[in-house]
Amino acid sequence: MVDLRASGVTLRRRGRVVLRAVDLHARAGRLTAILGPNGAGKSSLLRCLGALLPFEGQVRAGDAEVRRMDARRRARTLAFVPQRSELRAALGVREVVAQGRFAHGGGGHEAIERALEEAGATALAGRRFTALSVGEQQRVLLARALATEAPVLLLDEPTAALDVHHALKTFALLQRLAAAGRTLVTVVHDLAFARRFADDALLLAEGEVVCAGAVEEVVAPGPVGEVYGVAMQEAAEVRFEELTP
Amino acid sequence: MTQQTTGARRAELGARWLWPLLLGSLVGAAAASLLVGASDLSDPELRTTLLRLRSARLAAACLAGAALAAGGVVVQGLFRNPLASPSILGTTAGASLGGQLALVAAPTLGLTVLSPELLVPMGCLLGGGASLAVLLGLLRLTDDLLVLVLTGFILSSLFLSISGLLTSLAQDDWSLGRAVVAFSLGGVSGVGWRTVRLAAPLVGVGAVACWGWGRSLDLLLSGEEEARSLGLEVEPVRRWAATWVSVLVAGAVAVGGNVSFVGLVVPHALRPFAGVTHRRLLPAAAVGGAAFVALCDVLTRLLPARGEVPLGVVTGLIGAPVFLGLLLRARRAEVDGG
Repeated sequence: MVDLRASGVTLRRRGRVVLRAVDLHARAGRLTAILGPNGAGKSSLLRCLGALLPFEGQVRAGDAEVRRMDARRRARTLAFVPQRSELRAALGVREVVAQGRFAHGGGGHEAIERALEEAGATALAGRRFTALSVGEQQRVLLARALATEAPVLLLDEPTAALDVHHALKTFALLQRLAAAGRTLVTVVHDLAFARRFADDALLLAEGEVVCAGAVEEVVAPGPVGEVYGVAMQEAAEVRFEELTP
Repeated sequence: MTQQTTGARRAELGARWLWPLLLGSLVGAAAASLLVGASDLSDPELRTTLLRLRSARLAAACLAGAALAAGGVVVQGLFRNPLASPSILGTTAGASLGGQLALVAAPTLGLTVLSPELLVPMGCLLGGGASLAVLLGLLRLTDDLLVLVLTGFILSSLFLSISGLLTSLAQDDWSLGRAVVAFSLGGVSGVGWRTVRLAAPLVGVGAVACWGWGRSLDLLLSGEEEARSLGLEVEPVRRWAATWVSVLVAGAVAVGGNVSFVGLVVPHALRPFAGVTHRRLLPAAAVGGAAFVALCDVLTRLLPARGEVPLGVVTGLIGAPVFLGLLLRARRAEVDGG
């Protein structure tokens, strides 16, 4: 069980401040959503948490500062799931998932099979990654992250390309992973999904934290109205449920 | 479903027939290389000498082909671009310039201690090494892949210009001018065992080292950010891969001069059958490259010409249309959704 704590994270890119003194506490066993309008710095913050961008401030996974870890130890601690993979080469799905074992020195056949199963990607295992739909690729990328066996998962809009059915399945899976003791931090665009599935949330606007805490406090009429400029009506919820066959 | 079946069938066929076909091609090319030539092997007095000369030539062709094809696999992985070739780093032009400088400078400076058979390969190594040093120096200042490509391009242009200058200066001496032009067109006809012995360790060590970096290069196929997130230290991989490719290229140029298209065509042609993972593709490309260049060298002796057609001309004549065909096939597969 590993908590992830960020304090004073500031990111400058090409002379512009993208993130300003952001604090975040993502607890083990909980799903934390990073929210905010376009250009708020959500994806940048996620990359800072994974030490994928140079930043000022501190990010600690458990007791360790993430930038002080060597690359392999960091990959065994924090797994990153991009919104879309840049992989264009004709690798098989199992080979892509096996990349998650690199930080362990390879091997881990059982971990690969388990990850495929957990992500609901076992049926895709014999196919080529580039021949999959975007939604299927997303499941494979999640399986690759699970194959690292990292206690902290960082996900960049994991349901951005998914239809409502697959989005529901994905969030249900993320909830199960959190319930099993992992620390999940995910960028979410859809406030309704965040409200329903996340435990905690952090709302960003123009690189600064507007509100952080339990999701009910963050995805609430006050902060949402202030940041997005929309009126939030809790009674008007349309709720989708997955059909059981 | 059809795509999946076709892909699976191709992979299965590839796994079953690739290595027998590659090894068969290599053995066939080697036999032809030893048996085909202007002189007749039936003369018992000449046979031993001819076989010794032809075996050195065969070894040189195999080394050059294996090195360039293996280098091509690594460069294509490093740049995530199947259209990249080892010459992109500028070390091919650097090694070639080094070899030409050695050819020209040796008689001018009266360097008679070492024979041209050793001087030229050493010049290639120094030229390739100098080019690599500039490249690595710049990589210390920036880790931008575009800078690496542009630096390689600038170095190649500079070295090719100096090579052109050297070629025109060498024309004052007819035999020297001919040697410089022949070297720049590529060929293994005059290569002896001493040169082969000098280049073989470079190619062997370079190929094994590249194979060792295979898993890291596989991760780079997913882009830098993903590779980093999976535990890869990107900069050392990039530096070492560039270094070992340069070593391979220097070895190849030392024995074969400028041999075009091998590093581009061979990996591209084998990828659909051997797969894209470096540890599978690299050995297949090395054997395929060796067979391809050995076969092209046989053709240099068979094509109608006064003397022999330069090796680089033959690899270019075959490589360019084959590469175009592969590109069109890949494009068609893309359009068909394959």
